[in-house]
Amino acid sequence: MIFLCGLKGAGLAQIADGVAVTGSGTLTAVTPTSGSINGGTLLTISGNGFAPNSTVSINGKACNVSSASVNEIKCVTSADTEGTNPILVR
Amino acid sequence: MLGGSRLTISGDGFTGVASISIGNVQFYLTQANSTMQYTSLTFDTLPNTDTVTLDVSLNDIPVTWRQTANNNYTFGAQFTPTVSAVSPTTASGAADLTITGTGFGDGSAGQPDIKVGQQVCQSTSVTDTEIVCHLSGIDIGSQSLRVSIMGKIGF
Repeated sequence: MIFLCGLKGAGLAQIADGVAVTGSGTLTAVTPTSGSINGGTLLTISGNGFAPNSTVSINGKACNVSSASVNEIKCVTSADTEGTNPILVR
Repeated sequence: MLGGSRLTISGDGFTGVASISIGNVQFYLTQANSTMQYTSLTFDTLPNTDTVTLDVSLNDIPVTWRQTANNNYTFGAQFTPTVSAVSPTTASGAADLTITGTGFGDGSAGQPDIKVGQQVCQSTSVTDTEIVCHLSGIDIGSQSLRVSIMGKIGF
């Protein structure tokens, strides 16, 4: 057998102390912005900093999360009385 | 020095269960940490320092090096890329990051692998001292960087 050794990669970089990027959460858009008092509306919320265990509520009623990535959450509204309320993402 | 270097060993007749000894550390290659074809064996190194010899065994039988080949492998600071800064240092969504440092190569052997926390930052340009990458989102809080360079050093 004949062997040659080829070095292909330089590998992991040494990161200097304190080098980091700090992320913050934002909400940039939601669609649609209105729906039935019976709930069941699928909302798509865009932004940043969402996590797999993020929760969404509107006027204290849960909007049940169906999918979540770092910049988008989809949830289904619960029933509620008429009104306009802010969307809260935790 | 931090390992994670992708090594390719070229030869002939690779078959069976492969193990690599780097200095006094032996590890068996599995599907998860290597690929093997009849004429090449590719795997990632573990962290180490110093110059060590690299030995290959197939089915626990040592294989010999061609006498003109050099099976020394050097872990060293001079081969270790460094990152000294990143800009910007805050983000609230998609962002282009500029990573400054040394030893990034030119990307010709493959794009660098960059993570900011759990999120991938896709490299868009590479020079030896600067990488620009695109982050599509970032988790809340301080996120550290992991930068792995695929730069051909040659032999």
